[in-house]
Amino acid sequence: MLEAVISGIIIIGFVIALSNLVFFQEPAPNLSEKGYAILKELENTGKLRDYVSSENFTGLQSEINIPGYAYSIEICDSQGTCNGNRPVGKNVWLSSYIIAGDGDYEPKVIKLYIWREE
Amino acid sequence: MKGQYFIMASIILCSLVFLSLPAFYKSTQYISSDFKYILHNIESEFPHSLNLGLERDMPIETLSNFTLFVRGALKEKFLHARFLWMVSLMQPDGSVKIYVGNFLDEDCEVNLVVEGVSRNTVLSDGEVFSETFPSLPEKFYASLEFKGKEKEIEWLRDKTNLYLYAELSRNTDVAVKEIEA
Repeated sequence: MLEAVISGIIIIGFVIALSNLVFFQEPAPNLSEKGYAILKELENTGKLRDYVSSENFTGLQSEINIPGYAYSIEICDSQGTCNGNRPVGKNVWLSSYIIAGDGDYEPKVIKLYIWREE
Repeated sequence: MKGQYFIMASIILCSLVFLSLPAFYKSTQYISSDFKYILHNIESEFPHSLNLGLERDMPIETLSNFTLFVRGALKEKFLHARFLWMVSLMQPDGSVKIYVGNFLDEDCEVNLVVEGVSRNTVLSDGEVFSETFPSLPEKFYASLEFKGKEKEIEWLRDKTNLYLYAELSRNTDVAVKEIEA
């Protein structure tokens, strides 16, 4: 009888632990998508191409605000030359936006790295 | 002694359920969430690259270069990007030149039919095929067959037209988008 109660407690405990894991786990924030939305919004307002073609990192950074998170920007051209800061470490979300150019054909990738502030 | 079997059975049952969790998660995972916005980016920027190419009288070279640039840039995100496009350009003599570019990362047999005139060729990766059609009506019909797909389009003769097939894949996730501009 006692063994049956113990096995019942094991199963109930396991189900409760599992349901906490599956149903009540806080979803991981999708910061890659948020980063893209930020870059897309800058593109929609016509600011992204201006800042990128002139490599105005200060201007670009002044347009971005992600509360609770740190970020850095890197711009790479078709030769693979990159300017800006690439963070070192784990748990960094990367959002990138590709542009063909601004007036002249000059393809570039804008990379927005986002990570949790320490 | 008999009761201890209950405890053992419950432990085995819980262990089996726990071990099967990774398979459950694998079967319910969604397509990589970044596909949606990358395809959105592609949709807006490929026509833009063609326009920039037209401004410097090198539309096909520019589009080819941009296609390779995008493919390389997406590799960094562990994405395998494959493209195939078709462009129509009106020439100064009134004829229309149609270009088909294969960037599917493999050889591809394409069959182009424009107003009943058919052209068939095999394109290697990065190769662009072109055909001139001397007299097309103001609105003309083109169809393109490749990789078992068939795309039928109605285009305006006097306008530069673009059809783009874009396919993104990462592991088992695949997303496809067709763009017309």
